[in-house]
Amino acid sequence: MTRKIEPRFARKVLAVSVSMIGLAGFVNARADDVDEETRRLLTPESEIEAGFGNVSKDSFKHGDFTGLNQSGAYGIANFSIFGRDKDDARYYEIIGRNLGLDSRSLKVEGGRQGDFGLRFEYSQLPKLFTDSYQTPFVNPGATSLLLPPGWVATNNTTGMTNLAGSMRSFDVETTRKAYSLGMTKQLVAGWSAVVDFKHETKEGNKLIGGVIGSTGGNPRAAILPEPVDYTTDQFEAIARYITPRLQTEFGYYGSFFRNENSALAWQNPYENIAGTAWGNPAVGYAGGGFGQLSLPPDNQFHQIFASGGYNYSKDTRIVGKLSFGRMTQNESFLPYTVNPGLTVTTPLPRASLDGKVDTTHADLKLTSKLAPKTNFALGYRYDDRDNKTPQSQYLYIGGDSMNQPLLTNVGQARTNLPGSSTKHQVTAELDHRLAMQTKLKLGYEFDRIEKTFEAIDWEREHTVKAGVDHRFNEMVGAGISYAYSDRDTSTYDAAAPFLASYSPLYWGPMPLDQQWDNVPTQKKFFLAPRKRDKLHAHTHVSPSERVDLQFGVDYNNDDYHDSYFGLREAKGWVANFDASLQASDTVTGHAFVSYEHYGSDQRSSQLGAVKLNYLNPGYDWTADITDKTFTFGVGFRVKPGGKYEFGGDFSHSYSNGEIDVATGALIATPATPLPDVVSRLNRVDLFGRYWLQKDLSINLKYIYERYSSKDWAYDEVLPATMANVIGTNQLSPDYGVHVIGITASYRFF
Amino acid sequence: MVRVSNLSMFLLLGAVLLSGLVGGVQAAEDKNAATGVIYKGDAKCTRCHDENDNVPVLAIAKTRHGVAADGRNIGCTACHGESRLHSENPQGLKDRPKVDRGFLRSSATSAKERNEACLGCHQGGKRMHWAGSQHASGDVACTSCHQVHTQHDKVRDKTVQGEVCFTCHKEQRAQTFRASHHPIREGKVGCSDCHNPHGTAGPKLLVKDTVVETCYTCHAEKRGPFLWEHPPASDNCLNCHTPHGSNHASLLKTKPPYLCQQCHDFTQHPGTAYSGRGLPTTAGGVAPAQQQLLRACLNCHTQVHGTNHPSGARATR
Repeated sequence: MTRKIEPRFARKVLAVSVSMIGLAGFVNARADDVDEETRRLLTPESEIEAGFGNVSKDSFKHGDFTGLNQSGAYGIANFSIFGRDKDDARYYEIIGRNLGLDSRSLKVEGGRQGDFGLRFEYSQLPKLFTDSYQTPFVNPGATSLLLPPGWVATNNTTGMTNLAGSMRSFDVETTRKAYSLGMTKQLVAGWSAVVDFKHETKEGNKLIGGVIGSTGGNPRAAILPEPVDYTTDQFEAIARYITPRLQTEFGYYGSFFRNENSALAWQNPYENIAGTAWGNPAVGYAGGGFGQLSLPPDNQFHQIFASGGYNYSKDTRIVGKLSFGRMTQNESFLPYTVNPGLTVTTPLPRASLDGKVDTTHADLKLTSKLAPKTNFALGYRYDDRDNKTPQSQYLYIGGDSMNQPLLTNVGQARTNLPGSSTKHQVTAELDHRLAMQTKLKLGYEFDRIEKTFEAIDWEREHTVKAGVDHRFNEMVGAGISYAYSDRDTSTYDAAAPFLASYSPLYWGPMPLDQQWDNVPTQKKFFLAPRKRDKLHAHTHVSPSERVDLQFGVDYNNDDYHDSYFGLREAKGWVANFDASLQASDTVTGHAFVSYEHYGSDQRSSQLGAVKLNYLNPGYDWTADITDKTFTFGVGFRVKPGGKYEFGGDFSHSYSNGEIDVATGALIATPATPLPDVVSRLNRVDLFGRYWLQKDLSINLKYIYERYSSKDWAYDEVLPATMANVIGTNQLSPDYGVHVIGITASYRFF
Repeated sequence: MVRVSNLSMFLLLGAVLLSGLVGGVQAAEDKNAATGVIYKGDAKCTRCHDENDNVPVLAIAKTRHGVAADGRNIGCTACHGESRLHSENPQGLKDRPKVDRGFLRSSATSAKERNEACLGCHQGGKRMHWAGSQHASGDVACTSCHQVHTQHDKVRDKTVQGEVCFTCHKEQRAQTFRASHHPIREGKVGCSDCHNPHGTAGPKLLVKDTVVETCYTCHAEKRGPFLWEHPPASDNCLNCHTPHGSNHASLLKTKPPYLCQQCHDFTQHPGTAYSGRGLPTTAGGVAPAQQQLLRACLNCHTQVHGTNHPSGARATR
């Protein structure tokens, strides 16, 4: 936005003019011009922009996060107003953006530098999930969803004769509105205070799966709109003490989440027909059956913390942080079932969870210059999550569909597992400048994590790193770095969480080699031994001051070498190329290209009903998953310095997801190919600005965005496509939208 | 789409908040000019470095650093050093000696030396953990990201901050173009909402001490503690999600049911090999699979972040 001073005001003229300021009475027209130019150079520039735009077509996906989802005209209003008093350092800033859209924001800030500051912010964010969702429920958005009169219920979708005709459209979207207040105040003798408060609401709907039924092939589901009515308040207060040698801060952070809705219930669209194993006629549609989900409960987090940094010497610094936090949640439990016709013989063990997790974090880092060319850093980090939530046994009712079983040998007797973990990390890094232009870096990291109620008791990982950066000359530089990690764990006991949660009355009678709920040789990837390679190489070339080229490549490989089943390998590489060009003083250009290839291999066993089938490789199957993404962008800016300027950008992104499933010889239903999951984005942004007067301009903006996608999970899935889940008629996003805007801008100083 | 009526309330509030400040705010450069254009005694710099020079500097007057009334701003030499050889050029060299501490990319001043100028005033607060942080050890200078001599420092503006970060973090730039992404390109989430590039006590330069604490600042509904936890969710959101952009819905690393099957294999459907057979018959499928289409596993096991329902042991309530 800044403009260069008119050429006639050469630097010495300006300097002279400055020296002349203050000589009252010696003012002429030329000096006035110079004064004005000087004032513009030294005073913050403010701008107000207003106008209107037009969107060519409705599209939820296009308007996601921006609010440009509806066709037709919309208002454009932006402003940024700044003031700085150079006499006493007072200042203010008022910035408003996208005021005519649902993505609007406003910031008002002011204060006196070195004394105090006040800030107010408002920001709105629309999240538009889908406008092609359809549901048979007549009151989407409510917490108790009802079916239309005359609903024809059967025990699967194919018999629901009025299902397709009952589907009604419902836009699934949420809006966040955040209000923030902030204050800073310099106190005496190096002390200062910072206080921030943020109140955020999130309202609307998102999608959630609702199932009635639980076991024996009887689950019946629908995709439901989940009402969202969240409020999150966050408060932070910090006291800081800063001297050139010592910096400390002490603070409190609190986060308070409230959900106006504790449950979502829905009328059962399925009928309870003999043979479906629903244990009570009261479950089905004719019996007035409902299902009910728990929605996120109210919760709180409180944390106190202290940080400090101390400069022991010019070359040695120690810094650390200590924090203690507590998460709590104690919302009243919902009943085991929403259906009063189901028999409940054993009451809840408690009325609410009294959930409590204490967190402790400690971090200490020492950095020092060991020698003129050698720097060293040593760090230790400690994280503890101590879950103090009480354990109880719950005799649950599966999917609001059965009478509560007696506590004998049933799998419905489950004890909650409040998991805890303790993490230690030690890091050491050394960098040494071999020569003025060459820097060598070496590093080592040790991690140890202890867990409860998991298949492992502990894991530990050693990581070694090395890298070198070299500047060949003023035009060319390059670097390469490599890190190798090796993680091992305690003996993997897949049965441990199973035995801890299920009743011994249930698993006790099982053969010893079948007392598990996940295949013993399937190691969860976040708990499994792993060897990891990470390689990064980059180079930049600046053949002239006007041209800059960068190229980089990254390679990552996670080898879960000890996992027969589960994720076995995740590997990827990405290459990036960037170029920027300053063709002249008035024309600049830039371009970038990225290609990423990410692949993973996993293996499972199709056990069927026989647990020990996992030992037979004939039941094995594998999934090789590959995501390829190509992204390209190019743009230019022309600013001749006269009455106009213009520019544009073109962006392209193409992603292709392949899933190749291969089945073993004993699997009776061999895998067939899946189509690729594809998304393609092309976008053009153009803008132009014409100065009608010195500070008044007219602006044109144009956007064309073309997006297409294919996703086999949604394409061609109609309401009755699946026998036991009501489809939603959702479509993969596919749109081409033009947006044009014309505004007038006025700037002032 | 167009709802601006409530803005008047905010503007009014803003006006009230600032009413005590605005009155005294006006251009006062003429007073300073008696002793310097911006700072006292800065003429030895500004006599050359005006807006027509290759190194224009005057726009600093539009910023906090250019407010001489703030006693902490003591002039050009505070950051650049006295630079007598540069300003006086006693040998009359055609190419003047460089300033004592330069910040241009071509400057011989090391990143550490450049940063010392900034840290001299800005070492506390959010910069406390700078020493030894990833950016510090990577020889990143403050001025690699910040522009001091301009009114609009892009990296401090959430709407365009990504453009600065992406000059190095190109992989993340490409990820923001994917079908599922945080609103970074749209200017509603800045990199600094999750990361503090100046160093933190947590991993990955996250603003909070852990990954989950950082995510909970916007997604507090997933914090619990829940009666029935899903351990990878309460441990680390990144076990299943990739935060900068994904080709799969909800920023998932892999498409369900395969993501879920990387950990879960049991009798009956958890171990089933889902393939083209499970597609709609119109799409070439044989037996449309309720565990594969739409939300896949989450059609029924929907409470993957944990649930407080006493019948929710299997994440269906």
